[in-house]
Amino acid sequence: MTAAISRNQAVTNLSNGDEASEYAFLAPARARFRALTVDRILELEAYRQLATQEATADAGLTAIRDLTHKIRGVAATLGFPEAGDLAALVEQKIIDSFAAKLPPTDAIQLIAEPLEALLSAMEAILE
Amino acid sequence: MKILAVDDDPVFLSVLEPMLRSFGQNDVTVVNSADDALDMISQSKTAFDCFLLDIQMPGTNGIALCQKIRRISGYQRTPIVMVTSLSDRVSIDDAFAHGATDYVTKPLDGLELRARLGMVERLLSERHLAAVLQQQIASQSTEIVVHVDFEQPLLIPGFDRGIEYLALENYLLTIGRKRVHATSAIGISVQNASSFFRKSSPSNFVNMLGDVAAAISDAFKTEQMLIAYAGAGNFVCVSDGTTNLDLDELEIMIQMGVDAFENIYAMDNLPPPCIRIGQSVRSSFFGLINPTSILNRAISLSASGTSPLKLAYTGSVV
Repeated sequence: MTAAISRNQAVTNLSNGDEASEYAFLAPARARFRALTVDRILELEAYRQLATQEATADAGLTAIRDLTHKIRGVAATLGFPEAGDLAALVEQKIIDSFAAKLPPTDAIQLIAEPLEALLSAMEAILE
Repeated sequence: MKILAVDDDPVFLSVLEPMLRSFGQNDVTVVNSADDALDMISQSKTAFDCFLLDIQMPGTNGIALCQKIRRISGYQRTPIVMVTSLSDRVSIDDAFAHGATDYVTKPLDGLELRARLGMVERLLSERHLAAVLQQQIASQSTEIVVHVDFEQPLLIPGFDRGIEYLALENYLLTIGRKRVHATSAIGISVQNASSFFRKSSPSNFVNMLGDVAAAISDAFKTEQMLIAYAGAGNFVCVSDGTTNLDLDELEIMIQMGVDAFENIYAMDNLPPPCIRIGQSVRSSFFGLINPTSILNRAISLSASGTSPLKLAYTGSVV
């Protein structure tokens, strides 16, 4: 319970831009994450395109899985819990679809909604 | 504390490094791959005190890196904390089976990481104190001195399948209350450990534990198990609870494995160790218990000599 409160508190402090908070030391990492977000949105869109083409579907899905894995690892710590949760959801759905040996078209359908939501959450980070 | 953190994501490292510094950890080195980590270890003039390893990395992953670090001289007992987004049971089992001391999941929680590092620092400080004491005793004696506290857990030299008891506790805490009900523990006791300890030298006692550990490894060679020595002559084995073990037969196999060294014990005028396996213990799904309590229960059942006739549960009997 204590851990959950501390994480939420960190997120709140960062979201409020509270530079004086004990998490102010994360401000440079947060700025770096935000700066990378533009490229990552473009990357995710490009990988989504790849995933929709038969010849490159697996490579596209793998690239989306790897990038969402990176986003989920830090987003919440830096005050972007929604993007973190959605990235985790997309990653998990791709892992599950690989495990179930789903055809790429089904896998794409499976991640379509959360991936779109993730892209919106990432755009919101830039605002 | 000299820390080496390994993660392929530079953004994550840019979060981790200042977070560690904010805890007062100023001697932190970060690298992006397992290969860079191994280079750093071999080039470093002073040993690292602690490793923080990501699991999912291109090339050598964090679990394979953990295994490689454990094979480097001087790093068999260095705390290795896995810091990863992977929270599935297979990854957790693999990490501890290959030498991890603890496991923290991303996204990072500052308080949690600070608490885990506090545990690492306490562990290092206790080890340092024990080493200083041993050195002081050795300097006053012409004999090679091995200090063994009978009651305390021990990492047995050469016991490849063994992990530290602390790591086994951390494993159960990591898989958590939700999944610990699908885990079972078995205690294996050396019934005459106390009298053996009194009659033998500490190094003979450690050798005897090594013989028992080898016999346990042989008996469990087909099982996926985490095994640790808990102190006072007690071993404890943890599995995912899906295997149906014939405990009576295992007890006989381990005893036979140990009896192979009978002549050596006779030469030293020592009694051969007498092995007893306790009942298999599971935590009750509804029992409000600490995940690590199944270890204590398993040990107490083997130490007290309860025969392995049926499954026992901690908390309420189901």
